Amino acid sequence: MELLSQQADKKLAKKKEEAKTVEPEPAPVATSPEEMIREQILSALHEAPQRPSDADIAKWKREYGDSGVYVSALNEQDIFVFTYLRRSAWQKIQGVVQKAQASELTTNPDDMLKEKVLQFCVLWPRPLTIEFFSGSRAGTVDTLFNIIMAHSSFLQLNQAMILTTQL
Amino acid sequence: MNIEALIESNGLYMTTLPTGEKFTWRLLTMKEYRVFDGLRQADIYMAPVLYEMVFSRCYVGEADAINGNLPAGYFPSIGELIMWLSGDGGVSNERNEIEAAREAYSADSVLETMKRIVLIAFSSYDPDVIDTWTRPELLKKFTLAEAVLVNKGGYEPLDTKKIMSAEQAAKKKASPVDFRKENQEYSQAMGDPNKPHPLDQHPLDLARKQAKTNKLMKSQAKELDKLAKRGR
Repeated sequence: MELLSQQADKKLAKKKEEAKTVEPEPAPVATSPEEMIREQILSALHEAPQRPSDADIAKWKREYGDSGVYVSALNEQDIFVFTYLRRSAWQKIQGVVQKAQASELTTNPDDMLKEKVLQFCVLWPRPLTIEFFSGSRAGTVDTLFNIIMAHSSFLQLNQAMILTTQL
Repeated sequence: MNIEALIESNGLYMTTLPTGEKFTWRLLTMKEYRVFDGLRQADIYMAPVLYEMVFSRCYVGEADAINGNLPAGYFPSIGELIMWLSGDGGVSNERNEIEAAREAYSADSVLETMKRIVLIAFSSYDPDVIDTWTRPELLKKFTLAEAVLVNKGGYEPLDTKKIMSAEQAAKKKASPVDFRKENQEYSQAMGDPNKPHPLDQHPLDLARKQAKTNKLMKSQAKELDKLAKRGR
């Protein structure tokens, strides 16, 4: 009887040992398309040459708010970190462009406005050089300008209407 | 807040940002709209710049004092909305606006009735001028207007007994529809409702009716012939 119970104890101990050694397989993590895109953009930023350090990103977040710093990868080379356009900057830019327009310093105020918006809002790479504005792919400046404007709450008419009520 | 602008403006709107900030603004006058529309047509300013100017003009307050850290886009977006409501909306907008204005205009109210009577009697007054009067001034002009109209003839002074309180007026509005009266009006406008519609009749009945009508027309033609012979 004693022998039987010893054998049973041994078997139980063996089973417990086996259970300890076999690790459960990790459950598959569900990733949404948005999360996948986010991961791709962030990994593109991490692989970029002379990428901003974690300390830089933390500093920008302190300055512009946790939800005020964005990264956009138009392709493998054209990766930008930026913040949204603020009203104070927008007014300064308008003032500069209007003055330049009045004194005929610029022949194309639209281009000047886009350039100023990018200079104000792009945090990395910085500074944006003349080579960037003249030598980058044809659509880069316009696309980046539109992305920044979209993140600066330039609304569609129906969106503005939803926020509005007649007194 | 600019109280003068509040008093002068006819319609005010308020935009509330998702972060809670509120901005009150007015529409452009027709003249202002023409100017801004002209600037837009001439392509002198980029659209967001022009709409920012519209916002600054119509904002009831100091546009320069707005928090500079807010996202820049809200204000040109409001400017674009102002342009849309001030005239860009076009015909479809006008149709809705007329309907909304009719609904908003309390035509049956005593005050509006008094104003209308004053305008009928003294047509040189601008309707907007009346809004600048005090209530006693309006009452004074109204009684004078009534006296003028009575003297001219064909006018019966306003029966003050018929003036209802707000509760009574609301009750009257909520009363059920008078279907009998409505049916009478309908039959007057559309013909006898007891007669079946031609589309609901059997084809044979219709043919019989048509033949009868033709007969009548033939007999009428004969009568006309007779009259003509007599005339000769």
